[in-house]
Amino acid sequence: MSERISRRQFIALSGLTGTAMAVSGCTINLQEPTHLEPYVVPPEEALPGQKVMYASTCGQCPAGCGILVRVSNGRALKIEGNPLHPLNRGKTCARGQAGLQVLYNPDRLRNAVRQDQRGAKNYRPLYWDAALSLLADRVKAAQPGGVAFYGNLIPDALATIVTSFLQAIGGQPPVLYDTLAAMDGRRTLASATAALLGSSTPNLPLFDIGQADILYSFGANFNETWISPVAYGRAYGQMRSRPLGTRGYFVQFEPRLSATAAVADKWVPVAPGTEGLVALALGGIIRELGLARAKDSPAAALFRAVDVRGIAAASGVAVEKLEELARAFARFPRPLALPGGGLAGHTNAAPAMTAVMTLNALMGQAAGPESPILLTPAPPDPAFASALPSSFADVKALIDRMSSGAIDVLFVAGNPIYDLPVATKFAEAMARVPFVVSFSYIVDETAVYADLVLPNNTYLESWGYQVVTPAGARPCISSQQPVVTPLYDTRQTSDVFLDLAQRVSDATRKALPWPNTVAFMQEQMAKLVGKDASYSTKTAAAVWAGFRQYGGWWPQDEARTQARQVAAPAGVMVPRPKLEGDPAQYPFVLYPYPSTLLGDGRGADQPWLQEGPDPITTASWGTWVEINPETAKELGLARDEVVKVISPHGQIEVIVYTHPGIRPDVIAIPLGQGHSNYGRYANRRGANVLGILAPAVTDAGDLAWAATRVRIEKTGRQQTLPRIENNVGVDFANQAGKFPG
Amino acid sequence: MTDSLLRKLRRHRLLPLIAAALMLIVALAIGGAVLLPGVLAAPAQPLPFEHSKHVAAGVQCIFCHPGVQTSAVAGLPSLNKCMGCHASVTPKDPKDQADVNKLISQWESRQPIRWVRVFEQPDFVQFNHRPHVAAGVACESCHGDVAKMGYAQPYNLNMGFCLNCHRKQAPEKVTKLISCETCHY
Repeated sequence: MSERISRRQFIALSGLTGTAMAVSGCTINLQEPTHLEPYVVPPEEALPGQKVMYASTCGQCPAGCGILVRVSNGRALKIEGNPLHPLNRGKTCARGQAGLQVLYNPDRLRNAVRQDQRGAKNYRPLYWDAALSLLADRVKAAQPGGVAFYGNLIPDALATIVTSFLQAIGGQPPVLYDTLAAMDGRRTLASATAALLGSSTPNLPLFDIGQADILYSFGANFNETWISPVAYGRAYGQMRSRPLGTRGYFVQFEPRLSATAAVADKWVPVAPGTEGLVALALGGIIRELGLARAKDSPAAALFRAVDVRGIAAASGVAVEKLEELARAFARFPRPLALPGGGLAGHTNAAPAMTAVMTLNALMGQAAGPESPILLTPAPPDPAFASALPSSFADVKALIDRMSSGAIDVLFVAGNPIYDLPVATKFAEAMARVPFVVSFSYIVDETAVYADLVLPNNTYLESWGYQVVTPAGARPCISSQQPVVTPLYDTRQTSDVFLDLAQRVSDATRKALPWPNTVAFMQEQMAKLVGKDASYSTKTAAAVWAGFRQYGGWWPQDEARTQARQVAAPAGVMVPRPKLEGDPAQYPFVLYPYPSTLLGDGRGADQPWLQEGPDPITTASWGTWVEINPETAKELGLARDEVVKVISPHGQIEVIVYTHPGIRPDVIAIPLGQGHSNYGRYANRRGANVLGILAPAVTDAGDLAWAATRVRIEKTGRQQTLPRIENNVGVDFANQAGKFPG
Repeated sequence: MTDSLLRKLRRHRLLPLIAAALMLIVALAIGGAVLLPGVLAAPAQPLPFEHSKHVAAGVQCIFCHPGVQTSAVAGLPSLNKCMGCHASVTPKDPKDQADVNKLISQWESRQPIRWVRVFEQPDFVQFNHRPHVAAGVACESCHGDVAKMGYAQPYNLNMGFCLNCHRKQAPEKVTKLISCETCHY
């Protein structure tokens, strides 16, 4: 500092600065003016500037959380949880919050369109009447049984209407396959529960983890995506916020450190597919040590003669450690083991889930009034029986029928070309169907190859209801109503089917006599007259009003439904998982996992979800592969290198993310990206790991989504993965030579 | 650097001149914002609309802005309200028909008009029209004499303006009317 400022200069300068600041503060506001856009035609009840709250049901995943949407001047502005709703009690996840971006997506289809050449993306707009008469002609001309419906887990109102329609024209029931449901292991869990607890209809249980003293989760990512993450997240908070000494202890068994494993007291990185075996070993040790609380239960039979040493070798968990875990599990009065979705991805899914459920039975937790396993309560009326998703075997059967030419008209309310492994050859089979109709609200990968796209209203513009499954302590029918008038000339799919029914035949007219979904719902809800609710149910009109106002129907008081007794398990031993691919050629096991934000890829069209960081890697806007630093060192890979991940059924390019929270023999890739057609925010970003999965089937008939072996090849390219952590982050732990678990 | 800049300014005797100019600007700005409440210039709008002609035709304020009676905001009339009259009424001055035709074409294409907002309070002020109208405050006491305006002209509504009036109310009401949380909550 050679310059010196004299006192005079200092005073002069500070005067200047002060004046300049004062002037800049007083200048005219140069911001963009705000605008006011009054209605063209206002709704009668609209008050300017006054908010209106509508209760509805979230449509971002199959859980069925209740939401409240704030609407002002006919525009939906904010989504929050419905505090009265028994499932989520006022909470939502990030995906629920982002629902507005489904409504306002700029790439939405604005009217019905058809294209003459599939894949040409040359769409001609079509009046709805013309579209429906074209469709009716095609349905009428189809061969017997030649009309099929493929969908995701669609709301129950639509599922009921579609099922009646197909029944009336003599078609097979709709195939409702959902990647998220398959990764939750919904079907397998339901049948394992039914087999063990002797319920007549297989249905999903809800685990009351809030009451557990010690929780062993076998591949259940309940804080991220598993079945009903909001309800489980809340219960998890209850379990962990009890005072010291009674605070629940939590162990996660999973090959990868998921966001759920990251908050556990202990993460046990078991070998992929051996979670069920570990549960079996724990049960065997507990029984041998005489710590079982239900020694005489038929469940104890499953744990006779367990090869603990063999399991220790296969799972990579030492015998001493297994014994320590078994003793801990038996020490507390209220232990609970969760059979999570991770089990459902292997060929031994069914016995693995049974083993975990039986571990609960061995500790006397599976049945009785104290049991934390809540069965789905009886519906208020048989019309509201909840349906389970179709199995992967059903999908394969549909694909076979399509390729053999037995299907003339295919309705698609999902995105199978993106969702299903390429090896299932859905796209090739669809090419053989003469007429394909998509109900996608945006042109997605499947709609590109459809002849007719009849855009559905978004869930914020639709009528409907959803039977919440699993409901937990009380039955719950969640209501869905439009919070705004549809933005464009779109039509909700259930209305399309009701209209179609009027045009096809006498049988369909008789099966679906309702003019629209509202009339159908009113008739359904009339079945709730006289049932207990927090509003009056004396008349059908009162039920209809309360049903929409409160966000659905549920009884005022909790009535926990538990199994009375444990039925004898089939006594099968858990086999070792079978992995597809030669270990010499494909050394790594691929562990795909649903993204917390993008789900199975359905959320990729919403920029908030794209921008949101993954809870473990803090990465966004791309697809990465999680590799253990040891493995990366062996392969000579560094972060941000682009590699090819090659399975026997295809290959994708992803960015390397070295991470000690994964077994060295496993690599993990999140779902969600790799869209070629799903709107501007999703297109040409990352890669779709679902495409390269082997079409292996579990012994429960579902997709064995975690049973594919892969190898890694360098490309020599670099691409920085956008992430918010610094580069020391988890690598630092690695440099110190620490390997958690 | 600062030294040479100051020396240069002093050499040309610019320092006092700049200071005086800046002070004048500050005084004018503060005076304009605080001391002289009143009507300011109107911003440009997407459609040529004249309040004066509507008032002259006998249209009441609350006919087009009925929200004042029921809601926090007055609201702007919807296009179909405009067309309620303009579908059958022709303007007094035939020259204005060209302007009305712009409105009609907007209606026919079902495109809402994107007006520039004139009256706007900051986020931390909770203003509500309804109690003011219920208390018998005339529209022009805050919005100026609209009968003489084309586009709405902003009126300087700052906190002093509000309090001036709130202090003049019945003595038993004044305490509540001038307490902070009445408007800032």
